[in-house]
Amino acid sequence: MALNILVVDDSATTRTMVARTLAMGGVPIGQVHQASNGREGLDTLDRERIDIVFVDINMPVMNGIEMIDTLRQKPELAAMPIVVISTESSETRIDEVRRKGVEFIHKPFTPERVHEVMQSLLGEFQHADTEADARF
Amino acid sequence: MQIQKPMPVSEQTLTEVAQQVLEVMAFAFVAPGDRRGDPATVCMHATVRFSGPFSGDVRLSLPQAIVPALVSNMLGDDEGCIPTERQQYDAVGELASVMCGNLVQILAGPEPVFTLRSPAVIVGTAASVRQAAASVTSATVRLDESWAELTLSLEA
Amino acid sequence: MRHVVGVADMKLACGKDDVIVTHALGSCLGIAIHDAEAGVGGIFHVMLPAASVSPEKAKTNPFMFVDTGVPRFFQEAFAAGAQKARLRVAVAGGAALGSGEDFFAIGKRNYVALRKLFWRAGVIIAGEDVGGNISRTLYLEVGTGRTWLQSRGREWDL
Repeated sequence: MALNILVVDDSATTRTMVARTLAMGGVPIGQVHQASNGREGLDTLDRERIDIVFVDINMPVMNGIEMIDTLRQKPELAAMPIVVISTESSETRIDEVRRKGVEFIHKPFTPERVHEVMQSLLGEFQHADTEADARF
Repeated sequence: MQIQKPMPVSEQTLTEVAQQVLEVMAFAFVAPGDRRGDPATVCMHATVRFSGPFSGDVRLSLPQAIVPALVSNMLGDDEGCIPTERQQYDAVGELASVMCGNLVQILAGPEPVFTLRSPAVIVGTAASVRQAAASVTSATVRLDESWAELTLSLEA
Repeated sequence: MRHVVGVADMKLACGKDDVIVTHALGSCLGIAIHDAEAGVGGIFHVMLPAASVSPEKAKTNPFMFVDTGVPRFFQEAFAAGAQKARLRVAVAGGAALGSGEDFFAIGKRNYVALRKLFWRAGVIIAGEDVGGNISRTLYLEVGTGRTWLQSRGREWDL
């Protein structure tokens, strides 16, 4: 089954890079929804069926920590797998995030690191049986 | 909040942060540089303000001519694709944000928490950006055939 | 059978008992690819990052350069039955062996050029051992897909 993903980051570049990374990881990806702050992210979660959320911390309007806290209070979203991708380097902050049952990826990130976290979230997954990127 | 003084920052620290971020995110070969760019070069300057135990800003300056290729690398577009102006502003801002987040933690140590503002990106000559802060450290790196400059300004 | 890959060269094999090896990876990169289902494996030993330094040489031997050689290497593996989504890719080398400052930093340039190409083409590196200042020998056992390195009397899996 293909996974629907939500990527929340105020940088469109990072949203594109995360989406691209997911497409190359061999995991069957369905729709990739994007939001540019925590508030928009929550709105998307209300509207769409999402399987995994990728979220930044430092964002305008509503930051990633507030978004995660709000999301966790909703019973239907309490168990949602969440991955924080952030330039955040404070161990205090990273521990705080991990205590919320969230995976953490530090920016700058490699596709291999995202792949590793996806594997730990999903277990050894089957290679996507989709047509590979035509390049090469 | 207790005011904490940052570790003294060296040009080498700035160079290493610029190097790591540009190599991992933009796939550009970066080496320590010894020459400043021509002050008349038109650049994109992305500034990210941070606040926490100490405050200031980090500015990344890139000659505008090399920005499309760098951004196309970041987006994974085919060689020769020209990213839109909006994509260029966003991507250079994101590079500066990531550099800022990594740099402040090196200066502060692992514990303190900082808040980073959204990047402000402008276009102007290399000479057009001037520092008013109490303490300024700057490093220039060679970036493929061009250069990049990273500047840290700390408030008194 | 043992296949030895020279500098600026590649070899593919599909025999269960085939072992492919490339020696003395310094600043050069060794790229090993393996498709367990197709039973195809290969190693490519590449010297320099970009063909733009010598387009003539790139015409004669595209396998000298990362940007011209890597796509050819993968295409040949696909022609031999490998599929991109099933490939396991491992990378080794890219060292700085020169004494003193390695001014041209060829090893690092090779590695950055390869990562750029892989990012564009959507290739994940499953195992890598790059940089440092050691010379490495890279092996691939085609029957099992085992990829390993040897250097200074030590041997470890990649």
